[in-house]
Amino acid sequence: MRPVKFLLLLICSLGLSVAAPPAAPSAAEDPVYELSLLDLMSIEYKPGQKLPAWVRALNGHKVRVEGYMALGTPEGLEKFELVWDSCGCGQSIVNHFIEVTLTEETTAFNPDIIYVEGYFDAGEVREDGYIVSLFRLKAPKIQI
Amino acid sequence: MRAAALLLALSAVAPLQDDGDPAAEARRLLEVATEGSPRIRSQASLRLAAMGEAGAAVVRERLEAESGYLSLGPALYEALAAFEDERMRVALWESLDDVMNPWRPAGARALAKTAKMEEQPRFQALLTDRISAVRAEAVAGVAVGDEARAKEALRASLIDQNGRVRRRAATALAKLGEHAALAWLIEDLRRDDSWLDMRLGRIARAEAAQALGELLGREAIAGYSSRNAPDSAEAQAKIQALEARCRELAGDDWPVLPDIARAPGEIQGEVIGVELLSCREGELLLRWTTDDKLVVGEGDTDIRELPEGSTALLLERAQEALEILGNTRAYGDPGCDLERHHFRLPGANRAWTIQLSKGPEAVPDLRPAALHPVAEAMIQSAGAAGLEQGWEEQIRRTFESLGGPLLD
Repeated sequence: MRPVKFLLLLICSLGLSVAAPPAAPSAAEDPVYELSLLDLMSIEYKPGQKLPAWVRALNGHKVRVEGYMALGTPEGLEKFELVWDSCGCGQSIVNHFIEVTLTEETTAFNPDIIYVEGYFDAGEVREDGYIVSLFRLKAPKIQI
Repeated sequence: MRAAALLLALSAVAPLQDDGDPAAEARRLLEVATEGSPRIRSQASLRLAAMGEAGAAVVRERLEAESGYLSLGPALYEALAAFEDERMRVALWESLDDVMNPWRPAGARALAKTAKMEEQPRFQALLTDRISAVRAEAVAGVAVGDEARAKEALRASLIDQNGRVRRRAATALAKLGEHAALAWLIEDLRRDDSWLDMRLGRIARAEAAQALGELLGREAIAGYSSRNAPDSAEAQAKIQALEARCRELAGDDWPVLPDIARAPGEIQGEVIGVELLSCREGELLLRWTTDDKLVVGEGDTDIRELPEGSTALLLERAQEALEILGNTRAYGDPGCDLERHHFRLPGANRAWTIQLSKGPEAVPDLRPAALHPVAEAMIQSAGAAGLEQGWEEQIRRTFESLGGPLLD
């Protein structure tokens, strides 16, 4: 497991722009980077502003991140919000969750902490002038 | 000033509509902030705050009704602190005194993020709130005020029953230069406890590592993973290095931790548990073990003896309930109020969990009838554990505030 900072240093040392990370190597060789939802939540995020370089550097890379399935996630869905606090009190703040898309299974009830591993994508997705997601992850399945 | 900054940030994303009619635009945003998709309500709320007087006017209108803040929904309620209108802040503080307010943690968080020096006594009062999330949010508000007073108040929170409150207090104290508090975070890195299948130790490790990274610099925790068990060679080496650094900062002040802050040991034979998390009545965590012990709270510091056969009776009730309930595990809508039952039946490796959740409105029949005998048996069993007067009544009240009245 490699820390995110290492990835950033690696990319910088290769002289590549963090805005345009290197093409992802084949799946068999892909390194997996630890990503913390707590770190994402601590970003002083403002709509329209660039995300920190360390977040952008993870775009297209494989990460492993842990958290909870948002309270109230129905069973049988392909997408769910991965959050750190298991009780969000009905709030959904765009830099406080990762929208996870499952490719090999669907959601099942699980109140415990889980983790997912997959390809990360960061950047604003807007609908009707509002940002509906900031962080996304495509993972085959949920792991405990 | 705050409104101008917000407006500047937001105008880049979505220019305000209805430029010629701010009142109409404010009403439109109010609707999105209160009725829109949960993902965009906070953004609409902040846009409303950035509108200045036009935005404030439509919100004030709502606030004029008794308990009018309840009509704002959680996102706009939390955004009240972003309005320049001081009356919004006053309303937010007043709402924290309302015991029927389901969003007190969000209110405390909003106020603490924009805390004022003179508000320190009010935040300090929240450090003893019955809801741990309110106490956790209040820590940041206390830290903003007078330093000596903040340190004194936060030291008391280092023995809070809730781990997150202790971590926040320790982090705040360390930021104020009291490095002995780092011992609390280092200890949390050693936690590997579970509450039935809920891995509280892993959560504690992740949050402690994040706090240490914030305090010591990200490079200090590089290579540490909260997913590694604390007794693994890799984790042990990292924790030792971090502890050495923290001890160096603390000098001769490295403390002996109180029992409540120690990494809890494993609870043997836990088979039944109930989490009662009520935004109004507070929180209760109860577990029963096969050898008839009642474990109160998160850790292992409050364990009570029960009459022989108590847990067996509960298991019997649980089994009867599960036969009726079948595979349904979740009831109600997402919200802050949570009643969660954990049953580890004989022969099962993991507990079967049934979750009831709801928002601010009472849902009288949220708890399925089959669970009522279990809840009743839990109340009677825990009530017999020799805790303080009113304890049984408190458990009953908390149950009823969540899943609704118990059947006679």
